[in-house]
Amino acid sequence: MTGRIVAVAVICIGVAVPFVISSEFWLSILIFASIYAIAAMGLILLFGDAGQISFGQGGFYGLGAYVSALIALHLNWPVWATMVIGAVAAGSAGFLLGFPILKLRGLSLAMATLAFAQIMFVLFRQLSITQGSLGLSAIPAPSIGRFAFDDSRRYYLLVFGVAVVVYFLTRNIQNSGLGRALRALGGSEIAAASVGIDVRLLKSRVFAVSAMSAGLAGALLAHYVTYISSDGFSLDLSILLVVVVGIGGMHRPLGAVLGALFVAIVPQYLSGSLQGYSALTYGVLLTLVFMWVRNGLIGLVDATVSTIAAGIRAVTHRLTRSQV
Amino acid sequence: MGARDLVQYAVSGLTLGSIYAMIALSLTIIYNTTGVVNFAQGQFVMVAGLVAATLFGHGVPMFAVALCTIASTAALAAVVYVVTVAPIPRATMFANILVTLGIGIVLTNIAQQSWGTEAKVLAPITKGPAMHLFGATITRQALWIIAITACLMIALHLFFRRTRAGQKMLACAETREGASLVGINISLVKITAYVLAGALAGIAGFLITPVTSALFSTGITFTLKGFSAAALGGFGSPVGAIIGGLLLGLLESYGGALFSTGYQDLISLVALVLILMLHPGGIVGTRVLA
Repeated sequence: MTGRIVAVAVICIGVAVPFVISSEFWLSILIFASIYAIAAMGLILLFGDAGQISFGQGGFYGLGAYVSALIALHLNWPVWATMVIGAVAAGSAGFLLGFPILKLRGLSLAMATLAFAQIMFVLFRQLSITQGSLGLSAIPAPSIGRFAFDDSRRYYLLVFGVAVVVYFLTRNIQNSGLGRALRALGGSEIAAASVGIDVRLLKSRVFAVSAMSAGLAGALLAHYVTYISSDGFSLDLSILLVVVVGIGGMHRPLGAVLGALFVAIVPQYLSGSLQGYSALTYGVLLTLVFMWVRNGLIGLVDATVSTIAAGIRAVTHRLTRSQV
Repeated sequence: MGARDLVQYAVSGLTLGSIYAMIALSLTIIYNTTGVVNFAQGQFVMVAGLVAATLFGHGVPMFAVALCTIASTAALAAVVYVVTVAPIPRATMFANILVTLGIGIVLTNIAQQSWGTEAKVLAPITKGPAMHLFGATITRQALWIIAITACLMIALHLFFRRTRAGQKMLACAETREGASLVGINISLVKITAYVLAGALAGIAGFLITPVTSALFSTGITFTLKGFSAAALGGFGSPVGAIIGGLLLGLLESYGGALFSTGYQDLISLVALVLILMLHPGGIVGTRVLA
């Protein structure tokens, strides 16, 4: 019950934000945060539940962005359709890639997916259709009828809505049989196989779902910034998305949200107050959290909440006893 | 492809390959003694290049530039170990990856802050006209790189086989608990490994900068090439790192000639993915990474 109240409150705040914040700059920061959160929520299922590491998320993100942008530019299809196609294209690529690549585990998997992300970057840079670092420009904004999502406030509401949907989808998957199978896989692959889970198919499915979330995020980005070039899809992007999950916490989708807010807001905030040393401070902050905070920011929040709850319980207990 | 081209591509392949071998070897040394795969290793190489270019720009003689560069990355690696790796000995693999990635981000940011976004150049070790062999042009720097790498490999071999410090490292690579039981100071061995790996990265950065010039953002690429080389040879094996590095350099060089140079980077990446999937033990056949 409290969970629902919190959820409704958060959604209300999220919807109210663009009417309170009028700064174009901060709205764009929040749009980026929502986009990162969408891409990172797929990683929650992949890292947190299934226990598989991937540095390939940037590759799928780029795939979604380019597929959606290219179809919208060349075929003039409605942007809604092209975004879905972009997400499905990334998901399909993830499914097909999942079979061979998820034979690998641990560090080998981390390296192979890192290589995949870099391969995609080289392709975006070299292929004639993606136009390399010259890029694609004049990518159209999505619209319903004559209502176009062409300013920051409208686009924020769109990506926030998508993020909320993806959040609840992720939660539902975690609470379904599929989610339990994923956690069994994350616990022990052999044990999962011995209770009749088709491990290879399951791994490919979760890889596909996470790739799809990245593709959707990429498509949302392309139609927001209206200009994409290969420079935006380098390894830094894949690393950023892993950092989002690492900093936020990888076991709950809310971790992805906190992580995304962190990487979008903190560097901007620091550069306002520290200027030259902001990037350095940000890097040090990340490293310190990685070193000392188990389960990321969401773990920190959970620990604080449970400490406060225990405190309240202790106080009420003492009060009721003193009345007796 | 005539004799001239064959020689030309072999020389440039071995030049690059020597650098890859050195990075792969430094990754291997850290991995074997500490169990950590250092994602920030390429940033050490990048910092070395920038330090060397700066010192050279101030008119420091080449010999002193080399020594200072190597000393600075060795010290940097030691600091990184003491500040970030040593305090969390029981971290999970994912935590270790994140922490070393974080170090990489910090080093990249420091480099960008201190040296800006423009590439810095460094003169070759010795001036003078290039040499010719079968009509192929061989620069003096290429010869230096190949010769220094060869000497280093022999020196490292002797270090591991003939000195007590090297033997202790090998013991740690075999089993850390066992090494600690027979009285080896594991912490000392680990910090030695980081210093050695930092020095190797320093040499690699000093040698490659006259060829490629130094830029703050190149760290992760060096790390990736080092991974590819190490995995190709067999992760965890020093001999494998050297073979993998040289082979990768040759593959890239001949591949770039056959296809186009724009796709040259794909060769090492595809090689990495294929070797991990088809023959995870690499060429020398080490145990599989988990």
